[in-house]
Order: sequence, then C-alpha cells, then structure tokens
Amino acid sequence: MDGDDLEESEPSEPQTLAEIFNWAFPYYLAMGMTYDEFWHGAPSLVKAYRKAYDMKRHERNYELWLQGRYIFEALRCAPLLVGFPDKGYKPPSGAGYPEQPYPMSEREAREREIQRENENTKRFIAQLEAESKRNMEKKKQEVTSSGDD
Amino acid sequence: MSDIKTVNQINFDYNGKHYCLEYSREAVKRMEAAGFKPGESGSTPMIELDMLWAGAFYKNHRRESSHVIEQILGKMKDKLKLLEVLRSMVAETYNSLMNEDEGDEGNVEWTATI
Repeated sequence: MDGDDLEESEPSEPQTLAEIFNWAFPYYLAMGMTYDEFWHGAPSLVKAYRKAYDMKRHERNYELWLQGRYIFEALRCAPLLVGFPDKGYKPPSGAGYPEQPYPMSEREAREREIQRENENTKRFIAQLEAESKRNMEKKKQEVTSSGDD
Repeated sequence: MSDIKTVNQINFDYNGKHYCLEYSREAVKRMEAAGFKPGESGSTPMIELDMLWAGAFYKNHRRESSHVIEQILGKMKDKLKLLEVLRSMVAETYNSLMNEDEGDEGNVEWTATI
C-alpha cells in the first residue's frame, strides 16, 4: 500500500449541510439523543445534550478516581501488605478502612466533624459520670468499712 | 456582523389560523436537496427568501398548500429583516453542532471595518 492509497482512503470533509448533519448524528446518538430529537427537534437541543454529556463524563471520572481511592484504602490496611506483623499487631489509629464513604461536599464534611465532636463529648461525659459513680461507691464502701470498725 | 439574536420561531396568525414557523435539521436537509444553498451568492435574495420561507413550514405545517404559503409571504412586512431572521434560524441548525458557544477562553475577538 503506497501513500496515494492512504490519501484516497481518508474521509473527506463534509461539504453540504446534509453531510454535516449526517457526520454529527452518530456523536449525538452516543450522547443519548434520539433520532427524532436530532432530526425533528429544536436545533439548539444539542447544546443541552453536550453539556449533560460533559457533566456525565466529569461524574464518571470522579467515580473512577473515588473507586481507586477506596481500593487504595482497602489495600493499605490489608494484612498482606503490612508484611509479617507481630502477633497482636494493630494498624495505627486512622489507618483502617474508612467507616463511612468520603464526604461528597464541604458541608457534609463539616456535619460529620460536628457529629464526631458531639460523640466525643458524649463519651467524655459518660466517662466522667462513670468515674464519679465509682468514686461515690468507693467512698460508700470506706464509710461502711470504717463504721464496722 | 448581524445584530439579529438567535431566533428559534416565528409566530403569527393568518386567516384565523396560528402559525409557528421553525426549522428542524430534517427540514434544512430537504431544503438543500431541493436546491437551497446557504451563503450562495448566485441566487437572488427573493429566491432565497422563497426557499427559506417554504422550508420554515415543513416542521409544523407541512400540509399547508404552496399557494397559501406564497400568499402569506406576500403579506409579510419588512421582507429584508424576515430574510435575515430566516437565515439566522437555518444557521442555528448547524452552528448549534459546534462548541463555539461554550466558553470563550482562548478565542480571538474580531471586528470588521469598512
């Protein structure tokens, strides 16, 4: 096959409007547009389809990236990758697989932070209450034991 | 450059009937098959107007007789502006396929002087 053959086989630029439409049609079909929408619908509808397609591509790209991160997290805390850990080895805190999916927005991240702080506060109060209860019981025991003497 | 903004439809009432003229790609394809060539300097504006006008009926009023279509065109005012609007409506069928309206970054601004 020589260079001339190659030149002849190259598709030519669309010349007429019909050729332009026929050339563009499969691209819009791939974006989800129907035959009727493309040929009989409002001409400017293609702009919305292009924008929606662009949004879908960005979303897909983000999903793939996110999936990669989750896989990375899962591998990171897999015992196999830690080598030969000692008996009773525990991964450092925060190194485990996330208990919840990553927050999707700043707002969601803030809400989770507030929720985490509330849970910490509740846990702290519960610890204080348990400790004061223990102290009370201890004192009570001391009083009863000194009374017995 | 034209000061006509993108027009999608021409609406009017004639003899008690409402007409909504617009183009679809199918209509423009048929117009082209019938001899219409956009931007062709060979045809006179009146011939071009006739073709554009008849083609604008294809999408919503394709059963309208050519006699009535011609009659309505005869009664339309400001035919030069009508021609310009119809041209811009046809242009929208292929201009909308390009990405030109999405983001101006890197595009070159240009003006024409006489």
